[in-house]
Amino acid sequence: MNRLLFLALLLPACGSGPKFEQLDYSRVSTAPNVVDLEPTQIRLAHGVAVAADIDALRPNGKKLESVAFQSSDESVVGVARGPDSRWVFFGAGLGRTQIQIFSKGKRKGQIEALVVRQSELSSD
Amino acid sequence: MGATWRAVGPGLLLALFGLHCGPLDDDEVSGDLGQGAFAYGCVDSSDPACRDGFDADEFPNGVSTGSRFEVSFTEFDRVFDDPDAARVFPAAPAFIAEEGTTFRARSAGLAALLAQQLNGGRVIDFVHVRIADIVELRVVESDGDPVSLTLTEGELLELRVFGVDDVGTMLSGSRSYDWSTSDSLVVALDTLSPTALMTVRAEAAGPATVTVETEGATASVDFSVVAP
Repeated sequence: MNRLLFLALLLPACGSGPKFEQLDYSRVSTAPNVVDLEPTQIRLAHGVAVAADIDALRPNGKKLESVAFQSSDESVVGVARGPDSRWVFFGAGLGRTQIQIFSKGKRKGQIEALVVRQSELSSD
Repeated sequence: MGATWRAVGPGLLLALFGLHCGPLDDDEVSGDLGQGAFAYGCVDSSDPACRDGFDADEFPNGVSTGSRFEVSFTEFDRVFDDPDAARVFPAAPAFIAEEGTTFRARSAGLAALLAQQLNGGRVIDFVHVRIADIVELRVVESDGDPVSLTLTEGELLELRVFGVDDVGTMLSGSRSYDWSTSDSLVVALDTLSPTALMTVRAEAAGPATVTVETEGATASVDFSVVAP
């Protein structure tokens, strides 16, 4: 009985694999004052696009492998693969949504994505 | 033959297949990611960016709200220079709408146009287009000179109108204009076509004002026609 309980507790941890903690951005394209890329949230001005190399990090700082991103609502934030292993985000419409993070085809987490009016970011 | 081919063959092949690896054309800008060139095209002759037809003199610094324009994309270092290899689409329909093969600027701001592989694959590159409201219309002669305000009876004069933004930058894009004259017996409009070009004809001595309008902006030219 105790052995079964131990296995039952262990199974969810095995299934979920490594956890996602935050994103790390590099080679961010030029988009002055209209894009704010943070580890667990992005803010984009409505209408603009940005490209970046993005690593998804585990709590221990190691990178998740074969990472992919998907918008929960393409009418708010568009997400597409870009050139040279970069990813492209663009503010399709005002509002809030999430960007889902996958590793090797499995969902590992999400970050908040906010699209705001251009005047809100450009005045920062 | 072999030496000659080695000397000119590669260049000939590149010319035949249109490899885009040289400097940008005047109407092109490099994308933000440096992967290709975005070229601006005019929908018709009312676009001030294309004074000599449909080829733009340069990629514009801004387009006017409500105007139409074209943008195409060519990937750098692509051997087969196929303009259909990528589609260009706006990031946000609130700023730029697709109307068939052309775009319409809908509201002022910075708006991304993205070039994507036709199969819905990766985004190759993107460019940001500045959209601004016209705050002032300017009328010049068709060659760009200031308008001659005194005309002689029988004289024809071709006028060109364009819009500028709040800092005086010329805004591109095709749009409709409404021309009118205060006295068609003095200065007549040669055509009623709603374009940026208008030929006026001095009919008889006297004063007359020619007015041009487009979506909220107006400009007037006060003519004085004299006898020959």
